[in-house]
Amino acid sequence: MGRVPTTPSQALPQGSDERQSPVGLEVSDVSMKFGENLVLDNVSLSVKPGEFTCLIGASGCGKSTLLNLIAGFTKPTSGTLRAGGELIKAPGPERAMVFQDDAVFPWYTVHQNVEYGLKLRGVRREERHAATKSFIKMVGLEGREKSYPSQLSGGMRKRVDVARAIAVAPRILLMDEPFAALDAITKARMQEEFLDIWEKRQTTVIFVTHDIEEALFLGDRIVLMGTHPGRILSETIVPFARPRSEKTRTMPELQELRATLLQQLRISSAGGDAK
Amino acid sequence: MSSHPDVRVLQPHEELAPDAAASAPAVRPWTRLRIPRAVQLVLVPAAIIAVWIFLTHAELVDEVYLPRPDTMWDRVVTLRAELWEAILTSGSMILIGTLSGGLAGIFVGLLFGFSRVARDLFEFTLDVIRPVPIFALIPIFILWFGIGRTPQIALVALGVFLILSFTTIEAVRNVARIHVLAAMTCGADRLAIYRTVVVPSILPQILLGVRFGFIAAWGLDVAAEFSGSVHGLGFFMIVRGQYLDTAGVSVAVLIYCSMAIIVDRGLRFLSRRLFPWSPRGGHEDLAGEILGGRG
Repeated sequence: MGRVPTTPSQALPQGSDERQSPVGLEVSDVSMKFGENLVLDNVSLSVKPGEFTCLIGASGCGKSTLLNLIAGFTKPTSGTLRAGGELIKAPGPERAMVFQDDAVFPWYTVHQNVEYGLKLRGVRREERHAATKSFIKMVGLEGREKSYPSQLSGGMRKRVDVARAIAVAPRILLMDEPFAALDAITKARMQEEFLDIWEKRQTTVIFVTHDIEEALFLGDRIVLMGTHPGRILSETIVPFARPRSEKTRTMPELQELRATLLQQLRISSAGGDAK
Repeated sequence: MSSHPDVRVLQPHEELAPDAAASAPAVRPWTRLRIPRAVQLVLVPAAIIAVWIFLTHAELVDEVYLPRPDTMWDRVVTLRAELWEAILTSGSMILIGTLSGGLAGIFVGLLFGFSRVARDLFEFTLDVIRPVPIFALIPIFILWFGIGRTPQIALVALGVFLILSFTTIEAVRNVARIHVLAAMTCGADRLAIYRTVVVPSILPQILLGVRFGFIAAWGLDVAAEFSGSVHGLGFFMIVRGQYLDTAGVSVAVLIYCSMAIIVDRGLRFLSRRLFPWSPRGGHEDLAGEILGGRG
């Protein structure tokens, strides 16, 4: 078991509305060192409540490290992180995370996985069941409530993962390359479904990916990070109207932006791999 | 859907590659001569029994070395009262020893997982004790606990304790980090992580440890009863051995075997029923299925 901070986070107020209002995020002058290795160098980032921000960059640019800091799994060497004005000290349901790897609990059924956070919060049984059912429906897994994750496909497991995170009503939803392991078609479908869900729930999203097209299709804003040391290179406002659909993907403007961002990425990681 | 000049849409049933059929795996001729599985399973045991009956009935081997099946049956009938008492004695000792030692081992393993202080205090001591050959402790146990059931139960309990503490500690250590992190972002505190992630995820491995514990327990019980006991199946074997009664000894061996197999199969069945989600508890082993695949 890894070393993890042990302070329990503040429980959400009981009986409150399922839909917690989204909050903003303020990352100020954050640096992160692992030993002598400077992984993040003076990173500052401001995210508005309800905004969908994508972090992209080559591997080693510290984008996952930044996400882990926001989640509260680790503490920065220097600088501060605030969510909704409050200093981030420990992980908690107000900042739920969807991981790249399979993180659903194999010993729980789909239903038990999705209701996990609600149960921890002490939501009453009938209320919990109704809410869980609606979340399962939202990710299109009705009829599979009693299945164990080992009986599901990779895409279905990812849906469970997303539903479990959204069920805890996070004020900021953190996603660490959640669709990277899926095949192209499942990935595209999951992106569309996720946008649908996000538009309904309007939570703040920080979405880490190395896929420029994914970032352009999903995000309001793209933050491009460079390597050695990890830092923010540029920010791009994504101009496409919402709701976005399959057609958005083939828009020439998207392809142009993609080329520009790819160029930036190329320059930023040139020589970076040599270390 | 696509009207791109380079994309050719195939009609239903149209095949892309003309040699697709040719590359289908050929049926190997010998796989057609397959023996039914049920026959395969009993083939070797049946052959062993047949050779045994032949060797003993043709009097090719002296009965002191290899008893005849009917002589063994005779012992079961004439000594049934003694045997029954011995089975109950040994069985209850193994059960008490395994349960007490096993529960203590699981408790220590869980405690180590939960408390750093407990780990720092006891881990080194436990690491040192673990490789000590338990059978070497028999004389000491007899000196401490006297002759009788107490040293036997203590010996079984100690052996099972070491196995289960080790299994549990390792299982806790192997709990996936990502599951712990996921629980934390869902709002789980330390106790909740323990209750909803650590314990459920290690249960199948603990049950596997219990199976290993039982396997060790049979051997420990026999060894303990060989030295300084006046009850039980081990003692029964020693007595029959002094009469050069190979048939009687063999009956006791067979009883030990059957008890061990029944318990192990029972636990395996339990594991499948209790942990359908676990590759260890739920299904056949994957590597075995692929490597020893049946055509």
